[in-house]
Amino acid sequence: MIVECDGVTKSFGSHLALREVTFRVEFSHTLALVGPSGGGKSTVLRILAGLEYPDSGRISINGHPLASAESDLAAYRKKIGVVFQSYNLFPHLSAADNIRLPLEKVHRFPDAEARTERILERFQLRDHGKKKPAELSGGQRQRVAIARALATDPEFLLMDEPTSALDPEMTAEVLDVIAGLREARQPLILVTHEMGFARETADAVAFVSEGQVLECGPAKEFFASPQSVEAKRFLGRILKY
Amino acid sequence: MMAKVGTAGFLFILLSLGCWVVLASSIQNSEVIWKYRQAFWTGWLVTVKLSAVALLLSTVIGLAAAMAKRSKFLPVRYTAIVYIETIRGIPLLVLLLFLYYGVFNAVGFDHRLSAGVLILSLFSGAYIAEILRAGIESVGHSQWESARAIGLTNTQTYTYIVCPQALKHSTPALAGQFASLIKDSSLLSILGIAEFTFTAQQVNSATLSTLECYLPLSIGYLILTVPLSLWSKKLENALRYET
Repeated sequence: MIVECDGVTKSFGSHLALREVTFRVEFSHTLALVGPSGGGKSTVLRILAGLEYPDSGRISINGHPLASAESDLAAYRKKIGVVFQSYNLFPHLSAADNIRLPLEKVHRFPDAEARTERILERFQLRDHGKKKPAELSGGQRQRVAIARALATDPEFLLMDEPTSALDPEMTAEVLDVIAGLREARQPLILVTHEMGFARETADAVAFVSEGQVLECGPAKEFFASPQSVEAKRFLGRILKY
Repeated sequence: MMAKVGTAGFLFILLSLGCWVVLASSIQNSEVIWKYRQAFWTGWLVTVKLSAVALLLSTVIGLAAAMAKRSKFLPVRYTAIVYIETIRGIPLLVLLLFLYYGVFNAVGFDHRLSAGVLILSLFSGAYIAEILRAGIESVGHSQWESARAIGLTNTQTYTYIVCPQALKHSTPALAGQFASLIKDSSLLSILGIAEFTFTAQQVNSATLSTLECYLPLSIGYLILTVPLSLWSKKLENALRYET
């Protein structure tokens, strides 16, 4: 997969979230967006997910420029899967219905029911299909969210801090699922604070700080010898404890 | 704690006994209720029917106004705001007098029952609009975003995600508003519509037995409003424990 950004700028009111972000990264399965909080990682991810419009600049994924009209972006969003930090499941629908809704209403798969069953089975959620999100643990909710995003056979997945709302045990449970996606050859772009996980699982890393991508490249190189002062300081602080 | 409950219970029994003694001594012509039972029944049925129609109509008006108030098209949004704020700022009695005798008469629309139901629906619709709007706004931003992310269209988002959740949040308040509508329908008596209150007033004029007319009148409204109120309380509790 190839992700390219050229001079991407985004501001929210008077806050400049991204300043002329320019990078090109090629990876085979997992790109991790890492960096300090408030640095702009989530904004980069949300723009790649077609959920925010950049104020200026160009983005292309696998050589296809990202649309700027809402109707084209809507078509683009159908082809990808997004997982949010706070699960964002629909609380009035059961786990199975959360998964089935986009299959039936957006993608109109004739085998929506069977697909739902299969994906629940794959994520060991079969016994929980009838439960509402409030009846599930945080780890189970995030597994349902990942299942919902995957059920539509997306070209790639985007995850925004998928474990930061979870306790350590549930974090491990969800990270296992994400690591499993690598084996299933599911391309993935994720924002994460789990540096150990990024080092183990990601094959490419983009370091986002102060609204810019200061560094990007193979994960091994980044963790072994970060180039920018900010990345060195960041990793030094993270790995101190 | 027990002592407080005991005292409250004792006071309640004392008050009930007091009321009973006063009422029993005041009701001298209890046969009036029996004699005019058909009139009371017919009046009560008119109240039930007109309330049911007004309830439906006000829900449609309320939903339209709530959506209009969220419209991005400014003329539509401001029309909704003017409607809601004007209606909520005028007492129903004044609205009935103004619209029926002032506006409807002027344009030659003088079907009392239809006019009454329409004015009641317009009045209640403004309150329902605000209840529904609050319900829609109680659905968090993350739900809209999630719906967008999975590819739902705007209409689908309202149909499958926002409305079911908004309705659930709004139901207790809606039940309260429906009870208000039933009570407010008594004001239609001033237009001479033969509903429950008007009937009781007529019987009162004919028999000069005040309490015998107005006691069944009150009970007739309670039969409609108490179940609604209990249902609303039940829903509120169910919502409280759900999340």
